[in-house]
Amino acid sequence: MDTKSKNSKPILVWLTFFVGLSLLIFILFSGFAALVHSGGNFEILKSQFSKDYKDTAAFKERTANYFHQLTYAAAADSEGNPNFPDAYLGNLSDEGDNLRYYLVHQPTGLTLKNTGEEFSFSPSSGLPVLPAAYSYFWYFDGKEIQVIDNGHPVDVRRTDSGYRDITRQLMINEPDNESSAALSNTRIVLAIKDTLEENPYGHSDYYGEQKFLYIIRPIYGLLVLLTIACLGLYLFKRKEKQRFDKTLATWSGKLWIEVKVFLSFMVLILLAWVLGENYWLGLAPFTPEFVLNLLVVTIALLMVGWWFYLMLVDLLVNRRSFFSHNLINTGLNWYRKIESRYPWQEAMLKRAYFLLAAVTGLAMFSVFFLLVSVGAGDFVSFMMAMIFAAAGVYLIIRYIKRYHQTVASWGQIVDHIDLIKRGDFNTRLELAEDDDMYSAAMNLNSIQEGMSIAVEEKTRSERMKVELITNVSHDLKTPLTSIISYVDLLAKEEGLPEHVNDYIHVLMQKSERLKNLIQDLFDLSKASSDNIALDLEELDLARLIRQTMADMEEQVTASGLAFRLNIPDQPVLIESDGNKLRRIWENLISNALKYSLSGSRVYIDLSTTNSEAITTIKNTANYEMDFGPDDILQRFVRGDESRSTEGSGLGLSIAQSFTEICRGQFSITIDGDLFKVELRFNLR
Amino acid sequence: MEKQRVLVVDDDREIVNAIAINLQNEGYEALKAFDGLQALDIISTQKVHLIILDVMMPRLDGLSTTMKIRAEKNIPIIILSAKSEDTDKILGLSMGADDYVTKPFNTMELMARVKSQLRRYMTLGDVNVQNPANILKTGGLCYDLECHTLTVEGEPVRLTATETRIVELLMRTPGRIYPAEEIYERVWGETAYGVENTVMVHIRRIREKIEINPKEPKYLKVVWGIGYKIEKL
Repeated sequence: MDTKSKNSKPILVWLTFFVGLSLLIFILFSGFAALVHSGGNFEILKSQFSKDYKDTAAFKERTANYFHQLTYAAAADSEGNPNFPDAYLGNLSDEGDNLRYYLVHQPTGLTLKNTGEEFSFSPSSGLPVLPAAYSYFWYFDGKEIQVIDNGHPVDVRRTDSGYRDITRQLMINEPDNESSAALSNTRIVLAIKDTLEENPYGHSDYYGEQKFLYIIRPIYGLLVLLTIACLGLYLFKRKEKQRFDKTLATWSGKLWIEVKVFLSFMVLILLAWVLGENYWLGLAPFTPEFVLNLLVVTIALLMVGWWFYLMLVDLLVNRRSFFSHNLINTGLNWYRKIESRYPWQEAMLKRAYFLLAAVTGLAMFSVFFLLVSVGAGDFVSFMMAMIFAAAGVYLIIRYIKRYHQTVASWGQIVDHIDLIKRGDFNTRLELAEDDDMYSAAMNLNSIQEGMSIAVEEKTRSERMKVELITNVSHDLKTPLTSIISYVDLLAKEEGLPEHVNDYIHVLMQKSERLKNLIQDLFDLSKASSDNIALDLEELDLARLIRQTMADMEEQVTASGLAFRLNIPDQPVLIESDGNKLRRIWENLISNALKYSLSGSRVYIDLSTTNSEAITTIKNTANYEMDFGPDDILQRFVRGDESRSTEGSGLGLSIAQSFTEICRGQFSITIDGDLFKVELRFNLR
Repeated sequence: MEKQRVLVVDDDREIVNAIAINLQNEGYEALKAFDGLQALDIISTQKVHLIILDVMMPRLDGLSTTMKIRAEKNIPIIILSAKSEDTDKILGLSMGADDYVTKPFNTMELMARVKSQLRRYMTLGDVNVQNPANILKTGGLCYDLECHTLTVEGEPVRLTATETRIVELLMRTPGRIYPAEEIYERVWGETAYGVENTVMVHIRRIREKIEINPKEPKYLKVVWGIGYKIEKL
């Protein structure tokens, strides 16, 4: 079979569906019209398919129509005097030789005929005698109509004869008919030629109809076949047709619903107009008039049908947008495009102004049309007023809904900011693309993403830092352990020269210093990478300073410096890590011991405010401090550039880092030779 | 008398050698191993009285080795590590080690710790069981309430009268923190005023007598900003 059918285009399948269904409707409608015509009489319907034109209802009706015209001509004079005007008989004369008619008014002997031949009546039967080629004729003898076919009278009263309804409609066939009485003295003969031919001087309806019937019947047959083929193909490829339905829906979806409603009204009006033209469906089936009428009515019906089919498909496929694609929405989208060019706050204001202007305008139109409708009692004006009012209300509802949405989005953004504050970097804020807050939400999302990346980076680099510190510390300590151990062994050797013992002493001192330096460095690195565990407890800061002082008493006494402590007797309670605080104060006091002018005083003060404990340590430097407070906190910076003194140079840095870890504030002031460190901690 | 055997385990051969020399100088017999598996091997074949064990070693690290030894034997273990954080120390001790020394170490301190651990293991191994009512005991510290004498790891310590009273006070409730004022009032029997210095001086002196490394005390501790205590061990 057709192997390419699988690739057949949806539009072709759709067309087969379209043609098939249209033809089916046309054929069914034809059948329906034929049934209506025959009044349910199957014989009459069947006669239409007869091979012999003279057996068809079409022929019988046309003949009856001609006969009717003859009776009219016979009864033209209201006073009973026939004048046989030719004017009534134009159609008959167009038939030419195809028929012979003969009218005679017996009292006057007045006759009307379309040939020169004389008519005679058979004395035995009283029937007219006709030329050989005219074996079928109608004869009215003043009382009733007889139909003689090839010498045999036809019983026109029988329902299956096909004449009953036709002859009954003729005015002369009822005995009590007034016209019938007027024609009682008249004899009418209408004979039809056996072989119908075209009239060279006119147009024979008999001939034309006969020819048409011969053609239209096979055409109907072909149409039936075509319908079956089309519908069969369609049923075989329903999916393709549905696909094209969707294509159609996308096309029709581009129309505004207002246009659709307008066009729907238009096709309905067209149908009403077509049906209102009184197309007589009672014509004999398959005659040219019948087919023409049927075509007009069917096309009108099909237009309506297909239009609403299209609308139905549109509705089913596009659903909501079938209704939402309307003039107002298009206008609003257009407005939104303009709005997006403005900054957010301006757009919001402009929207409110626009709403005000539009609603005012619509209200004015509405009131105008309402006044017109009241004045003129005009329903159309009233409808217009309602439409404008509805449009205004719709705009207000849309605005309020939009405002609700925007406020809800604000809320979402506020919640989201809170979420980010609490450290959630993964949940994303999803807003509709046309939301007023959409760009704000997107920006917030990218900020969040950036933060997430930054935090991740920080965590990773911190972990690496800690690992590095641990490894480096281990790698430094291991060789140092060997150095210290062997220097120690050397020191225990007996009998070494004096200068070698001096060398060993230097080695011992320096390795010890290296050990302290490494430990300080390790502590500081850990502290500044925030990787130090705090052991928090409530403690007395005043006591802690006193304890530290007492612990370092020997060094303090040896330095010859005078320490002036101004510390309250009552406890100053803070929540902190005692070991870290001890380290801070040890470093600060050591620093003062190392860099104070000999014989000078060192002041340690502790005071409290409502919320803070403020401690200071002040000393007079034994060298010129030609640097700023920030410089001294640089790692490895020491007061003396020569670096001859003990210490790693990390003491203050460690004190600062530890203070910050313990959530205190650390600051240094340099005023001439006065060096001052201030620490602040929150009171408990 | 048979020499006491100490097993030294470290992946750094020079450190092992240095410790071994020091141990021999002190009169011990030193055995050497360079990773955890070797150490386990030696322990299973020879009699060892003490183990000095490095943490970071190839094949089997110090902590795992400690756990394996502890599963079978009660030999004292001193952990030697470059890690100096409190958390590392706590981890090592909770694995079953008896002491924890950080690198770089002081040779004299290490030897003192070896001596202390060995003495406890050899002579006081079963003192843990009996604990007479008139003896206050925490870790290696024993205070005799009747004789008012203090021993550290079995070694008697000479204390002055004030120091003895301070130790007795703190030993009665190990772990409890005493502020300087309370110590002063209960020891000296006088109203305390500005006594931090006085108390601290005594504490420091006691520490020098009972601690191996007074800078990193094991028993007598200063709780900075609060007071003083003897650790409950």
